[in-house]
Amino acid sequence: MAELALTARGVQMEYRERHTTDRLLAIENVDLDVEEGSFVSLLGPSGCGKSTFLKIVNGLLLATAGEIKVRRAAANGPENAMVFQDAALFPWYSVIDNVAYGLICGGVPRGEARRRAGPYIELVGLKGFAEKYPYQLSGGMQQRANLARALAVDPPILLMDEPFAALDAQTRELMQAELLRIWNAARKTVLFVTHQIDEAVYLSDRVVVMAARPGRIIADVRIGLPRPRKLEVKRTPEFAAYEDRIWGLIQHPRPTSVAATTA
Amino acid sequence: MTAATYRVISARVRHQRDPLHRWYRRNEPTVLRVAGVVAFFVLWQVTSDVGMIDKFLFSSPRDILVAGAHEVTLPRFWNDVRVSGVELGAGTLISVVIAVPLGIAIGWYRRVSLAADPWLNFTNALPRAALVPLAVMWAGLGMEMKTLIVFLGGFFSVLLPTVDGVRTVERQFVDVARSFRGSDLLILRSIVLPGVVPFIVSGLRILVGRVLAGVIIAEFYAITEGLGVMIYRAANSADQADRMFFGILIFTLLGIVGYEAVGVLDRYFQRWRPALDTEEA
Repeated sequence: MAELALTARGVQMEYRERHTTDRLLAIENVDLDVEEGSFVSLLGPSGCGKSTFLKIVNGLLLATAGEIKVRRAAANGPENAMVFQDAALFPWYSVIDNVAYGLICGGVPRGEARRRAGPYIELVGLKGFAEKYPYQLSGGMQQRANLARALAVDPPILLMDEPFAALDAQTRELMQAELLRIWNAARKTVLFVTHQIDEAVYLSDRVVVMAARPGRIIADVRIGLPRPRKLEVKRTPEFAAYEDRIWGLIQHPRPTSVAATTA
Repeated sequence: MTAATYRVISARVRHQRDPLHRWYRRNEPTVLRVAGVVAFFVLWQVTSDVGMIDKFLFSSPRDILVAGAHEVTLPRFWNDVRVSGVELGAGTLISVVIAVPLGIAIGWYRRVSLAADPWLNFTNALPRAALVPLAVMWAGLGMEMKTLIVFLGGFFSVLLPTVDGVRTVERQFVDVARSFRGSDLLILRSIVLPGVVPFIVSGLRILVGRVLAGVIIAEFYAITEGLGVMIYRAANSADQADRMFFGILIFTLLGIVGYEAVGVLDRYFQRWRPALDTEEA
């Protein structure tokens, strides 16, 4: 069995609502193991805490209970990097400066950061756009740059927060295929948040299904479709069967204790 | 059965136009702006020449030019220009150099902001003209006092927008920086400063009017030297209206130059923004 890239035990996130004494349980008791090199999706409706969990892993938020163990990166680089939902590119920086930004945050001098960013711009298919500003890029291209920025710091784990949610349907499909190509080339562990069943099934080795109020894991489905996967796989009966099964789990969530063994 | 009838919606017909017409179409905004200014001065000159308006009170463009031509031969005039220029330049520079960092600190640190807010509102609401006698008591009638008044005008017009600009910095960008473990200094340089520039620029636009008003108020009060004094003293001369208008014209030109300079600065810092007025194909 592969080594674990990430282990979460009993992670909980509780918010106190403003002006009232009500407490909001965004995440309740989440246990999750992610194997190294695997592609795992967190799938669920809005408000199930999937993005919150990602931010806790990233360090943007501190959980109110529980613990997460992340495998240390070699050469004291970052353990993970986030691909944000709305590309979140700085409009005042060119593409290459945006892609280099994560490195600059890590203390790499600008010149060297730009040099190291170059190959990642090529990897995500933005060759020739390095000196463009974000407003000159389409939504899909902006997400490519967003992805390149995270890849450039060479993190063992890539955290992706619904990166294709704002794209049109065709661009989204193309980007999904592109992501698998890049994942295959870069060999990262990916934790991918989405609310789209077909996206989760197409991309993932495992789909972790979450439910809302309180946010919790209700199922963990291993996707056995062979890789490499072409977009055509979405039209196979096996693919549809996975979609149906997950859709069923979302509609009729079983108690947490029983569901955890679905695999 | 009756046959259906159709209305034809044709494509736009492009007329072949002569070069002069094409030149006008391209430069219409500039042409109309210049025409507006020229028309005003021509109307002024003509109504003044035919006696419709009183030359003694309202002068005329030609008389203003004549008075100006005489004025620029006087060493006193150039001293006035120097004095007002130094007051404007020093007051503006000091106000921007202090207001921008202070505004960023107030906007960024919530505690500084809470402590400073009452003072900001209080001092901003205070009419600066009321402070002139106090400034004279502190700094005398010289350029220091007038520079202080200019400074006060410029300071708040830049400080308040800067504070607002920092407060509206997008959380999302800060999250990106924090996510990649960026330092506070990097966040300041890469996110806060670029985000706050448009606010500083709109502050500078207000500043232009305020510092010019400041220099005039201070010079009117002190009556020592400067372009404001030149306007003030013109009241006691025979060609009073001509010279007053000449002084006003100088301040107007200073204002225009100031606005244009801010515009240049704006375009330089905003070159990453998409151009809004794209040419029609």
